[in-house]
Amino acid sequence: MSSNGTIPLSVIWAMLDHCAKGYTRKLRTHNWSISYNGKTYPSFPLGEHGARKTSTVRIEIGHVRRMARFLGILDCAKGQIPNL
Amino acid sequence: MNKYPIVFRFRDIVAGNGFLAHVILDGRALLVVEDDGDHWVNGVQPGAVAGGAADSSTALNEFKARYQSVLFDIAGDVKTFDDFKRGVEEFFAGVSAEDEAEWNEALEAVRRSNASLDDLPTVKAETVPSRIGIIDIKIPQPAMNELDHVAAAA
Repeated sequence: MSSNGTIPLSVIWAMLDHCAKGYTRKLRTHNWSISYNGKTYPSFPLGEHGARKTSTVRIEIGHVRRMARFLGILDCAKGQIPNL
Repeated sequence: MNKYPIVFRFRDIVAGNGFLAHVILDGRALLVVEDDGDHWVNGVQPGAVAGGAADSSTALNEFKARYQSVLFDIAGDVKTFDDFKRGVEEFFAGVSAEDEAEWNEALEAVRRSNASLDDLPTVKAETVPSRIGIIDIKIPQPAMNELDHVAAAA
């Protein structure tokens, strides 16, 4: 995979704060489950080596794009994360 | 960017809190080969799952792993088989009209151009309609052991 194709989890949360106001996220054993506007994306990756509560976790851009599109916020997300 | 419609048959036995479930899912996804060479398998039904890698085989493996991880998460969160069944059915039902349209467009393009993928068998799309079956296993039997299948739709 392209080495510049990852985004920090902190940036993703900030994007969701802006584009999916009122969204919720739940840390599960294998994934983050992200819900917004009646839809749930249950397969958002934890990042390498499982969940960490540090800002250094990075997620592949394809997963972010897919999640944003599924939740119906892709256009807004591209405004927050330019290389999305 | 090239897009190929995919159909798949995933068969999983999932352990929950006091139950064993047989999950039988026939679904659809779109294999996208991006301009930078990355391969992404984006779920159509179920829609809320994706897998990516530098090649299609690895991307398909990651897609299956991500799908399976959702089943495991649901199993870990619920107390009964009925709640597990409900959770998996909701996951399967997560489909967007946009994704459906894109998959159908890719299918039409494949049919027009006769394009095929070298590393996947090809099946007629109508022979693998999307479906979900979730069975509470009371008496395990070898007949429940099934391999997964993935094919390009044409």
